Amino acid sequence: MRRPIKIIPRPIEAEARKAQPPDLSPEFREPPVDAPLRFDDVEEQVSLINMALGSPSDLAVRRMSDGVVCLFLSPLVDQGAVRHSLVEPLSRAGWLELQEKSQAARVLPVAGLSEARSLEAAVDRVAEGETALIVHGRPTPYTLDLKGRVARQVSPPISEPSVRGPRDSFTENLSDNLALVRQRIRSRDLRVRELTVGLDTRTRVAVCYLEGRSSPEVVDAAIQRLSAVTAPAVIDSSYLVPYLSKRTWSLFPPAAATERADRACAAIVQGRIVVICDNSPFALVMPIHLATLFQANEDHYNLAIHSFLLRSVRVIGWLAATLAPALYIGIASFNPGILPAHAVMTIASARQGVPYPPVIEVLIMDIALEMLAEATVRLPTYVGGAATVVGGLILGTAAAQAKLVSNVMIIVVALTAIGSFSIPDYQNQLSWRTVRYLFTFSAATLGIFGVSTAGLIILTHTCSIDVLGDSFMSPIAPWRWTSMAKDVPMRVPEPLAVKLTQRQREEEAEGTADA
Amino acid sequence: MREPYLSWPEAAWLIMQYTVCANYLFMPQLLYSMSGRLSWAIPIVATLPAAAGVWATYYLHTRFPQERLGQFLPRLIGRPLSIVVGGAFILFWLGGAVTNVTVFAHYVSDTAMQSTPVTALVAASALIIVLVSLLGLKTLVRLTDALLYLLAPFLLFALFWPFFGGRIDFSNLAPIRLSDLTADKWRLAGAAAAMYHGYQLVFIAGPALNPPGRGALVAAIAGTLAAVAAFLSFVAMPILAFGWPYANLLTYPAASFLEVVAPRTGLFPIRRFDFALTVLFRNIMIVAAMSYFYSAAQTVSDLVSPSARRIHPWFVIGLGIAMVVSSTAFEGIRTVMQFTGVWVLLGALTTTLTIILAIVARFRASVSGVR
Repeated sequence: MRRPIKIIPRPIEAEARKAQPPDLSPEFREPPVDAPLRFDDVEEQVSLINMALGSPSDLAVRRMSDGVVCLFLSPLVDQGAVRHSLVEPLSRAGWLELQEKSQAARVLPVAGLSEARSLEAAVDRVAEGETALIVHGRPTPYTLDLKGRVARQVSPPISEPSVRGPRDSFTENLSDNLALVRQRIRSRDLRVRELTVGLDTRTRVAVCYLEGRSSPEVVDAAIQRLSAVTAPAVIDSSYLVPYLSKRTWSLFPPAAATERADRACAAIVQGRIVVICDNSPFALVMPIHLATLFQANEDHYNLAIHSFLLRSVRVIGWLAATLAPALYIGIASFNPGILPAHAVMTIASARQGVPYPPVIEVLIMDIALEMLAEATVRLPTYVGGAATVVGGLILGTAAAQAKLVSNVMIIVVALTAIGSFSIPDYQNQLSWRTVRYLFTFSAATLGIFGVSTAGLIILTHTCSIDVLGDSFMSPIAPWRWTSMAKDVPMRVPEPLAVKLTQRQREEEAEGTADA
Repeated sequence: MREPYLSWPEAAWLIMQYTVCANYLFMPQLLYSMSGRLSWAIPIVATLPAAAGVWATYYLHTRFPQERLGQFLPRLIGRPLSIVVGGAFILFWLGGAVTNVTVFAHYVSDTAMQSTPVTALVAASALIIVLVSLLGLKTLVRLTDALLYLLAPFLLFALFWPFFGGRIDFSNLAPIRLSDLTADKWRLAGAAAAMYHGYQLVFIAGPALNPPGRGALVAAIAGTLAAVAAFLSFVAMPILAFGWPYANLLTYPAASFLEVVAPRTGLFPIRRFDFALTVLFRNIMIVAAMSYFYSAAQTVSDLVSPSARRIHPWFVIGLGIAMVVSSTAFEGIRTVMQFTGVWVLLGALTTTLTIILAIVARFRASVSGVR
């Protein structure tokens, strides 16, 4: 819980007037020589801000001149900017020249100069990394954006590599990320709405969309949901995901996470919304559909026919990853009649000597596979590959030789692993890895009939998901033929895609898009 | 009011699925026992009562566009009668769900899963049906939409492939004796009246139709015509391929399908495709069973509490349990087939009631729907 900051500022203005009535008229620019100058109001503000922040050791208080003090948290500001934009200009100006914002703006060459509405707001801004400039005679400080931060350079995407396509990806810096978006979409219709979420972290979140392309209802719903985030901490964009859907317990994420700037921009141009969160290299794309989770950005960089081939391979991989172990159990335990007699004999002879039923075989190998995948993520890059190969070889060969599992099972697990890694989106991979267990247990209980039952349950679940009012199964269900023809089984060549997009917009305008 | 989301093609597909349901499992044998070689003519004759039913449903929908059956019945015919009439519909729909689920469970139990208890198979299907009903009509519609890509190719294949397979011989339909058709008039009338009842779905999904009114009419006509084509293929194809009385020898439900479409070679492993066929039949069956069950649950809910926004979960769960329990009364596929005789009569009754309700609405012009 955030502890409320209690600041009860004394009537600084009245006191300042009592100590030295400031006449701020232009003709009276110098204080009377004989009156001793007191800057109690400045000191009081410094002390109150210091107290509200808990007297942190990294709070820098610099007295620029008489009656002008600046405060900032030293790790969060750019020291060079402080020197150039604050220290140097203020060495030539006094507190009297900073009374009005317009005057201050002339003196200080800083774009982000604003007046804090209250002392409490100033404290919040200092905590966020801004610099407070306390000026004698002013009830509240100015705040200046002189943030400097530790940020890495734009680098190639790690989790979404591609053979063709741009090599830049998002970083942890929101401004850099917005620059990557704006560099690609130079339309005047690009809108960026900024919000602050997280009671403790006060994380900046930018909602990017294209006016006229995105549905206003979806944009409103997204902003409404993000504004209602009650989490004390938003450390990464993934913290926002549970707030984007009404359904807390769902197998599928309501938004796709991407670190590729080109993918995010493509989504914006298609009419989706992209949420970029400060301190996170992953932007959230929404609303997402099941079909889009099987699309890679490379699909747009290859020839349409090549993309079709790759997409088909992905779908086959997905089917193998999800169904192969369940079908193995179903065939080996319940319905051997599906296969030709000699294939059944091969499976039966391979299983000879294996002491467990097929479901245990599958679970042993599935869990081993999960552990290998998890170990690969955790291990350093140079060791990870070797560990996977060694682990895979040792586990597979030894388990088969020890007759803990059959050779056929090793093939099934290998197929599952390869298929699983051919699914483009990592979150999507995890979702289907979870679904695989449902299929496994259903097959162990009811064979092929169980697989069919589990399939219908999963289909029902996906059909019931709405993301910001849009169906997760769209354009498959409800039917949107134009959208389906454009980019679901295959990505049509660009000129045709443009025509279909035009038609889609006309249909949406007429309200006949669903049929 | 919620925004209508059901387009007429989606409604037509749902109506077609609802009509065809598990009828492919028992309708051919039921009709063969009634009219022999000429049973293929019954799906065509049945379009006449279907036309009357479609008109009556459309008329009731235009009078009560924003209401479901259980909501407008009390205002149209009074509370006591609405319980009787609504009860008949609920029994028919629940009976449809039970028949679908049970006939399929017995089919699977007798063929692919001989050591699995039928109740376990019924319970597995009931689980999905209850889940969908709890999630609501929108989920049901989307699920049916999603199954199009699996089922439409299968249905088109069943309809057209035999023509390319070289088995079709139209001379097998002759001689045509009308006495065969009219041998059992009452059963024929019942079967014909009940056959295309899918348009009844408008009573439940009508308020979700976009656009309402004429969209309901187009959907009901298109859905019914698609069902006519499906029924014709299921009933006529075995006669066209094998002649009479050999078609009738394929007595086991759905046994004839693969024999009709399979290539003319002894090496073709027909039985190995039972698996694929089972999955396809299962998906058709489950959509219909879900639609029947949802209609029954929604009507029960509307009759009890007409203004409730969603069906109370306990109604759904209760009816789900009732479905599983009632399925245990059927000892085998033969008893299910006997029950279908009674269920078809219930279907004929609901068709008649639909027409009567439309006539009553016509004469009670003062009663209008909530707009």
